Amino acid sequence: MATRYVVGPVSSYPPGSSTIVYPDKVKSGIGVFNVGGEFYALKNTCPHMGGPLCKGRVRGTTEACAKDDERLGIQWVRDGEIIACPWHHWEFEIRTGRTIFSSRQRVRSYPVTVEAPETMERLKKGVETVPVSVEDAQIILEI
Amino acid sequence: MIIDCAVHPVLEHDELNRRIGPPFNLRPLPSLFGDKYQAPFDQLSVSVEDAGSPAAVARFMRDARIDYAVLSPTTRGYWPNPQQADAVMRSVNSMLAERWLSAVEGEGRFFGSIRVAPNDTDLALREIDRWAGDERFVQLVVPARALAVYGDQRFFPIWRKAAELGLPVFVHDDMGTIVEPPPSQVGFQSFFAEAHALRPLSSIVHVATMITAGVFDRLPDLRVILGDVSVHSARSLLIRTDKDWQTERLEVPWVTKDPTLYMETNVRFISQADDEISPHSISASDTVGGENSALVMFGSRHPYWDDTTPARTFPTWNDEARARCLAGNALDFYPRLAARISAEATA
Repeated sequence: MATRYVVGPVSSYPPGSSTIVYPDKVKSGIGVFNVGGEFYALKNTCPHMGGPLCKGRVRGTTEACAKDDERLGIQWVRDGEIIACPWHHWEFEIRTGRTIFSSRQRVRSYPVTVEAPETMERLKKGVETVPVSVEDAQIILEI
Repeated sequence: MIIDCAVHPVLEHDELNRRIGPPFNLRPLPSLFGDKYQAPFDQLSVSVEDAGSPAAVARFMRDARIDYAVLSPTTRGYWPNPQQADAVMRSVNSMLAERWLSAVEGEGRFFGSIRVAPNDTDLALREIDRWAGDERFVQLVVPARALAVYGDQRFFPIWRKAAELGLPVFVHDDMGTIVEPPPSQVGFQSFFAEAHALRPLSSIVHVATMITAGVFDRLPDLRVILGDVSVHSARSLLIRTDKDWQTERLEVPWVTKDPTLYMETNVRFISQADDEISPHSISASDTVGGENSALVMFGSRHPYWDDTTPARTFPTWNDEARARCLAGNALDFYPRLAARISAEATA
């Protein structure tokens, strides 16, 4: 059965921000990211060598320009949508947990929902941590 | 069938100098074969006369049961003066066409190489255009010794033209150079034994830079043949690019797959002296970048002193694997050679 974990109030995590939470069930931690107003959660374990992925840098990545097949061009794309592991800089899409390059390896991701205060009241008994405040909508992880 | 992808005919010296013309022949140029310094013995396994005789080379081929040979004269690597370099290449290519590819003794079994000096891209393209219509020329040859790595953008128009014309690019270390012998990454070597043993390194640098510069992603039809690198020495160096390319992709986003995978699609290796002794050569298959037998093409290196024969090449392999190395891979990799051989078969 899925456990619900309250990350905190939406207002504390504006777009571009992130945090790492450490629920009992996932000791290595789960990174929660606000990408353009949507929340995503990835396990804080890089599938490459087990590094603390979510302590890495949230950034964009490079893409080859295809405008002219003779000339090499490089452009910066998807700024804020990529997490790079601090150990070996493997890059993953925060939205999907997939690698940028073709690979079968991907990071475990978790569903995240944003719940209104009234829903929070109903859920209160089942959640692992007591919310800081019920005044505001809360970010809820399903683990 | 046996196809020899590396025969290095010696062009007659006086005639070549006459063709090169003034001002570059006011002092006779050095012969285009052999080593300038260092080598403590003759560089040829036969007399200069035999090395320069189409009849003698045809005889060598008959004795070794070689059916076809791709001829690539050595031209002393990199020439600093681009005009002189162009004059030498023009003369070498004309002489190869007239004295070798047209020789009756060749009985139609000689294929040619367009030698280009990559110092000046425009001159190189012009030289390719001179010969592109002559289907007997089946490849380009560029020296392993170069001004810059072959992944450099300045060379790209040459590679594009080669890909368009179905001409594989053969990278050859001529050993003998007009300038000083190539230095290693840490300076100049002292002895011929070093230069000879370490010659694969320069070509590995070229092919690694072509992979990381996305040359093969931009020109999927480009084919590169390394004349002086065995497949297992290439693997041992290129696999280093596989280890961390996921990290380094950030600066080379045009690279779309494991670097060694480009070996399988775009690169072939001429059989080498170390193939004869390496423990990796006993087996026809391997794991990184494809099977040995799919990547190696027989080259005798005749008439150089370290030349070899088909009989001595991968003797432990089964018949099917040997057939790939001795002919099948060349037929797959050289479109013009394959077209002519299949036209002959149906004639």
